[in-house]
Amino acid sequence: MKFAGIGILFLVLFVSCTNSKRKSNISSEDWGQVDIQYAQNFKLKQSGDLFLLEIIDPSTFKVQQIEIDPENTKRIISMTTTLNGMVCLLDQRSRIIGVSSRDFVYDEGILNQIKSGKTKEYGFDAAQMSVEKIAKGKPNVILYDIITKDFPNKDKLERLGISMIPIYDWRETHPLAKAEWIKVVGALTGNFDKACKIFTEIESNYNALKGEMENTSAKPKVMVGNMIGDIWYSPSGENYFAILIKDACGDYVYSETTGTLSLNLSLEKILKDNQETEYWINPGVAYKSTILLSNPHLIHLKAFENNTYCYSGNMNKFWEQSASRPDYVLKDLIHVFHADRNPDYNFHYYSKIKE
Amino acid sequence: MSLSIRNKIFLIVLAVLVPLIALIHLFSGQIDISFTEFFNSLTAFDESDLNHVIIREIRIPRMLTALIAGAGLSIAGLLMQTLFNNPLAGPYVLGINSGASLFVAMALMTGIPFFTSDMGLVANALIGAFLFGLIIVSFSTVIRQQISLLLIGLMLGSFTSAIVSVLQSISGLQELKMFTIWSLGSLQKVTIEQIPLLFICFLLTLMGALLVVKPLNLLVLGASEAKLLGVRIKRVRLLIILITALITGVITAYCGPIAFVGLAVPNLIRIVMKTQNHRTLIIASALCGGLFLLLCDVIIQLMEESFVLPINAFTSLIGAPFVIILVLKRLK
Repeated sequence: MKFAGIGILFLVLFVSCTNSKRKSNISSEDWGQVDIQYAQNFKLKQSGDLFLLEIIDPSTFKVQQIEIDPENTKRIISMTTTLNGMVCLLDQRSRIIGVSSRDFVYDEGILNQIKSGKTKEYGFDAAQMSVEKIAKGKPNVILYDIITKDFPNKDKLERLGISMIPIYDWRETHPLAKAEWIKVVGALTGNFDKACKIFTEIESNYNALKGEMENTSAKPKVMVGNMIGDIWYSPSGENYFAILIKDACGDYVYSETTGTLSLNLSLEKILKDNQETEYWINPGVAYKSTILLSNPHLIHLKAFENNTYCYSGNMNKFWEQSASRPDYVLKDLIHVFHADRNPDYNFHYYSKIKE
Repeated sequence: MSLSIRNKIFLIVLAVLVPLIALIHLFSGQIDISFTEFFNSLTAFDESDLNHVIIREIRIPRMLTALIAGAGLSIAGLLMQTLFNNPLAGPYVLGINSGASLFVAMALMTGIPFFTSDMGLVANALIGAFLFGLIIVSFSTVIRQQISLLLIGLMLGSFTSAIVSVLQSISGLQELKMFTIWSLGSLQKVTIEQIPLLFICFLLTLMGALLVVKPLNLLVLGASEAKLLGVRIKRVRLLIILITALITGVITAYCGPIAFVGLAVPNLIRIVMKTQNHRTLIIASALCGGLFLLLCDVIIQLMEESFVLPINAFTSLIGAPFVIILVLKRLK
C-alpha cells in the first residue's frame, strides 16, 4: 500500500513535470490577426504575448496551427540556415541549442556556442537525426525545411512535447516574403515588435533601392545557375530571384517562364539562349576551373570570361543572411549590373569568381 | 567458318544503320543546323560561330562517345559472358565501375583533399577504376576457378557499395544529388580533345578481343574442355580481364556507369545470329551496341525541349524488360 502510494505520487509528479507548458484558454475570437503583407506560407494571430502560427503547406495548402508561447520556446533546434540568420538578427542566438552542422553556420556567436558545447550538431539532414539525441537535448521547438515528405519521426518527437514547425520561407516567391518570416522568429523568441521594426526597415530599404532603379533604361541580360550533370538548373520567371534581378534592372533571360521552381535546361539551349548574355549569376562555385571541370563546354558562354558573379566567397554568410536581408542582395545585384553607379561599392555577398 | 546469308545481311544492315543513325544524331538537338553549316564547320571552322562550336565541341563528341561507349561496353559484356559462361554477366561484374563510383563518391562527399583537389571527377573515376582493375587482375593470377573470380568481383562491388552508402547517409542534399546525377551516366562531358584517348582504348579492346577469338570459341564448351583442347586458360583469362578493365574503366570514368548495354546487346546478338563464332559476335556486338546507345541518345535529344533524361534511365527502361524476357526464355 505504501509503495503504491509512492508510485502514484511519482507518476503524478512525472506527468506534471513533463506537461509544464502554460495552457492557453484563448477562444478563437480573442486572437487578433497580425498584418502579413508579403508572405504567403504563414499567418499569425496574437493575443497578448501568445501567438497562433498557421503554417500553410504551399503544395497541399494544408494548414498547421501551432500555438506559440515564448516562455516555452527557449530551447530551439534549428535545421534551417535562413532562420538561424533571423534569430541572430534578433540577437536571440542563445535560444539555439541545436543546428544541422557547423559546416552550414556563419554566425560567430553560434559557432562559439557549438565550440563550447552549448549548441549541438544534429546532422546534415533530418533523416540523420537520432530521436534519442534530440530527446536528450530537451528542445521545445524544432524548425525544419523538408523538401519532400514530412520530418522523420515527427509523431514520436511531438509525443515528447516538442513543437515541430515546418518552415516554408524557401517556397516564398518574393524576396520580401522570405524576409517577413522574421516575424515568425520574433513571435517564437518574444521579440515580435523588434522583428516587425526590423522588417519595416528592410522593406523600406528594398523599396527605396527599387525606386532608384525604376528609371534606369540599361538592362543587361543575365543568366543564373549552373549545370549539374547534363542539366542546367535555373530559376523560373516567377521565382524570387528572378524578381530580384528585375528589381535590380537586369534582364533575366528566362523571365517570361512561369512557375516558381527550377527550370531544367539542356546545354545546347543554354548556349543558344545566352550568346549575348552579359552576366552570369550564382554558378554556385568559387572558381572558373571548377566550372570547366564539371562541363568544359561552358567556356563558350560570353559571360564566363569576365562577368560571372557568385556568393561563393562565403556561401554560409549568403545562405544565412540573404533571406532576411533582401535589401543587401538587391544592392549587390544593382552594383553587379550597373557598376558605374559606384565603382568603389563594397559588396555584402557577391564577388567575381576567381580563375 | 563462313557466315550464313542471314547473318551476312544482318551485319550489313547494322553496318549501314550505324552511320545513318550517327548522322541523324548529329542533326538532332535544340539548335537547327543545316548540312551546309555542318560541312563548313568541318572544313572552315569559325570559332566565333556558335553553330560551328556546337557541332565540333558538343555534337560530334557526343555522337562519337555514344558510338564508342556502346560498342566498347558490348564487347566487354560479350567477353564476360563467355568467360563466365553466364549470359547475365556484364562488363561491371568484376567491380571495375564500383572502383570508379567509390572514388567519385569520395570526391563529392568527403572533404579529403586528395579527392577534392583540382583533379576532377574524371581523374578520380579513372584512378578508382584502374585500381580495382589492378586488384581483379592480381586475383585472377592466383585464382583458378572462374566462379571464384566472379564472386570476388561481386563482393568487391558490394563492399564499395556499402562504403558509398555510408558516405551518402552522412552527406548533404547537394552532394547526394551530384553523386546521383553522376551515377545516371552522361554522354555529354567528353571533349573533342578526349575522343582520341577513348578511341585508342576502344581500338585496343577490339584488337585484343579479336586476338582471342579462337580461345573464346572454345571457352563456350566450358573451361575444362577448352583446356583439354589446348587453350591456356590463365593467359586468356588475364587478357580478357585486362581488356574489360581497360574499356570499362575508361568509359565509366568519362561517362559514368552506363547500364544494360553491355548486358543486353551481346545476348540480343546471340539470339538473332544463332552463332557461337566470336569473330562474328564481337563485330556484331560492337555495331549493335554503338547503334543502341546512339538510338537512345537521339530519342533523349529529341525530348530535350521538354525535359532532360539521363542516358542510364533510358537504357535501363529499354534494357530491363529485355533482360526479364531473356531470363523467362531461359527458364523455358
